[in-house]
Amino acid sequence: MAVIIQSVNTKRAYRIGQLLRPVSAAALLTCALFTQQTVHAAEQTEGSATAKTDLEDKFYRQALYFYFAGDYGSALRQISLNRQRQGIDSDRSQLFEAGLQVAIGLHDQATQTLTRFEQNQTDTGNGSQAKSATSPQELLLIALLQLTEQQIDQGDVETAKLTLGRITTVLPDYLEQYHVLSQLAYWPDTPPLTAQVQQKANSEDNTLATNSSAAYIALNQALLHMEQQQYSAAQPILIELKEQQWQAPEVNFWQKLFNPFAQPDIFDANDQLKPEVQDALLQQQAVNDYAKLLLAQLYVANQQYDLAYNELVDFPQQSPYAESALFLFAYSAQQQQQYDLSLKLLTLLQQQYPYSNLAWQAALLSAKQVSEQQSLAQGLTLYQQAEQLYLQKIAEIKQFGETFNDSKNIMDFATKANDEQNALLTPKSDVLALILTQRFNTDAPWLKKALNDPLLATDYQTLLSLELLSDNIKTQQTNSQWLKDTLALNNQRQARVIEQQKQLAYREMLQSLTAQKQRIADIIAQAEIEQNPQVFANPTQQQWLNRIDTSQATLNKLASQRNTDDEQQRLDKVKGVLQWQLQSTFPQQLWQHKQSLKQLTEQLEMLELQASRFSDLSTNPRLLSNFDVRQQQTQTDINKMTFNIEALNLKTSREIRGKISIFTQQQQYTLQQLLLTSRHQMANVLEQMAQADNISSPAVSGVDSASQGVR
Amino acid sequence: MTTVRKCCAFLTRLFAVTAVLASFFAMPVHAEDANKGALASELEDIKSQVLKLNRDLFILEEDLLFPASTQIAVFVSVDVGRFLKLDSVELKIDDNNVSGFLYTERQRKALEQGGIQRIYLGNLKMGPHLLTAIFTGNDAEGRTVQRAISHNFDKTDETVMIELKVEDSESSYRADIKVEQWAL
Repeated sequence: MAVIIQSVNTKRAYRIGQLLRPVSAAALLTCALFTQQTVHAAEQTEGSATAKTDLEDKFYRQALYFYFAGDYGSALRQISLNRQRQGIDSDRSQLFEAGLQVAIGLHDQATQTLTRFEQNQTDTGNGSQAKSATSPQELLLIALLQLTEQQIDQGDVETAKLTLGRITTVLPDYLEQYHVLSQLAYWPDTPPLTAQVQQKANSEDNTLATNSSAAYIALNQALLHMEQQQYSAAQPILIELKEQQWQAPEVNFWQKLFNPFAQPDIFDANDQLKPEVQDALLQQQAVNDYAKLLLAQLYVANQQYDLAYNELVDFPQQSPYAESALFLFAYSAQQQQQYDLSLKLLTLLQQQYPYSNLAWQAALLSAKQVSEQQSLAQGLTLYQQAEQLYLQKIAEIKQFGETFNDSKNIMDFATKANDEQNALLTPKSDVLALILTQRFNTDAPWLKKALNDPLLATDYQTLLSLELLSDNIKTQQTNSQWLKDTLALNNQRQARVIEQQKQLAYREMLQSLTAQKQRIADIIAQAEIEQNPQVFANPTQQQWLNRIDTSQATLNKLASQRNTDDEQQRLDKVKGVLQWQLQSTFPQQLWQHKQSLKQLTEQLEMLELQASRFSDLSTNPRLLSNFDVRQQQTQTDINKMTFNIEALNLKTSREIRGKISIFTQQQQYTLQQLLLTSRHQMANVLEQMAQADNISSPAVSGVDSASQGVR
Repeated sequence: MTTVRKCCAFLTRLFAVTAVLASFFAMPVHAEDANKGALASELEDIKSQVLKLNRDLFILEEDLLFPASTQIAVFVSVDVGRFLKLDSVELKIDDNNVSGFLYTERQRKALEQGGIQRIYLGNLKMGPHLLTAIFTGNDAEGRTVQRAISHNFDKTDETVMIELKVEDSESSYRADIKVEQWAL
């Protein structure tokens, strides 16, 4: 059921964008004020490196992305993740979660979430914000209204009444929706309408609210009057309704959240009416048509057949109520003594709606008319045709009942046509499709007729939902299996790495490296104490030093045999130059070596840390086993859910079989009654024919009677 | 007259049935079928379990594949988006292509309406890294434009989360890319 009679705001998307940017969680959607605050907050964040990011806002907006992208399941998961991992459970998160839960059909959870939200509101004393156009109270009202709507759609009117009872204040914009839902929940009793209507300060708005047409409320009211035979009260309402024009609804973000099928913009990018708007127009047309039909029925009840005839003469052929209108039109024409037209209409009804009760009834009516207006013989033929029709239908319904009972899977009767419009509005989520985007459809005419029972239709939708969930579970089973394989691979890899670690003896290597570093550190320290630059000699210098040492040794050997003063002097000169070179670069070399040693020390420390971490990881048997346990738990959950889905599938199938069995019995009973009536009528016609024969030829009749008496 | 009355009574019953069929304003049948509520409740319960399972698997997968010590996540957001209608994003880390995303109209609008998209989740070694992002889209006149940004960051043993923000600049009438590294 669409939200009705509000005007469209084509700039809504942009406004929502503005609306959602504010980062304050304290007050929801008071956007004008918070936009500025957000800018300042952002500036402050950038200015201060230590300022913490507003993660609540960031993670909330991640959920928003999924929602706006049409992935409601992932949006809900994100909200749940935010709460579980980040501890984020703000007011707007709760409300958003409730909205998603309502949209996905998790009513119990939505009720719990809303209760928690209400409790928070009471605790924090936010009640004063009710006057704000987008106060949490208004959002709560939207949530409760949408929840009620879905509960009514599911036929759970008792819960719907309880949900309605929780509404204490209604804003004028939502008054009509509240009225309609109350009417539906309490039908045919008068709804209590206990909630207080909060008046708007702006009187113009009040006028608008009063002038806007509450089509559904009025239609329900007229229907109620007619059921109570208060025709004079129903008539003006219906006259007004049949002329009513459609107005595009205004849908704000939160209404759209709680009802993802509500759409705000009338025109698409090509300035064409959007499919959903066309649908709304069709719905308005249906309201007009139904009002016309009820009005015609009212006229018939008052025996004003000329008015009924005039009312239905231009009734749209494509209307969902064309079948009933055709029958009523034919009947009115008959009463207006337009017999040819009436006969044609009744024949048309039988041709177009062969499985309709009205068409079956039409067969009798046309036979009756023909026998009265044309001839008894022609009437008799039509009665015989009607009898054949009923016998044929009885055989068909029996056959259908048996086939249905014998079928192993009742979904075999389905021709699953995608609901294109819904598919457009909610493209299937890649991750988690939880909203049913298709409706059960069938080519079997009897089943199609049986599906007019909303409870049976809901049962079939339940089966479709279960199929969807089953597909989801299969996807998750694949994920779980993949995780299991990954875990197995990781276990193997871990074992292999541990084995390699054992062979490589990291610990010993590390100790050796540390010892070497220590030796170098000692050498540097010693060189610093002794101010010995030779320690830092480069290879060339070292070569020179070695040559000097060798030369010195040679000179020492030769010193006893000859005078080596000259050579010694030259060697000392070379030694002095080299010493001077080494001494001049000593501070720089010392510093460089110290720096290198420092870096080496740091690297060794990191290596030790890494080795320690590695050792911890490799020797911790719980690391992957924890994952194993979690994976096994999910597998258990999957098995359990698969079982539950199958069980519920069986249960629903049993329900459907039971309902179909009752339906076939009812149809057979109706057809038997009609068959009986047709035979009675045939007997009447035959009797009349016999009487007519008697009157026209009494002598022959007398002879016949005499001959019968002889026999 | 009796026939007329019967017919009217029949029609009244008939329209009462038709009214029930008009699902959007007719009264659904009252909760006379107790199983109905039970079925819906069971279905809801299973749906809820599926969601929980999905969440648990999601967490398990992240924990296993992207531990915090190596995890890096990159996000994209759009502020208003009047000067750049986002078409695609390419991401490079240390000159390696790590992610690319081509936006549908709906996904683009989701960003413009305030959503934040996680465009990349991966693993990185500890140490300094360079993130490069190239945004492609159309400007207000419909011309194809590109914006690129580089960001140096250090990966520590904590998760790194970087948000790339496409922001409209009122002064230059163009979109700029800003980087915000989330402080956790």
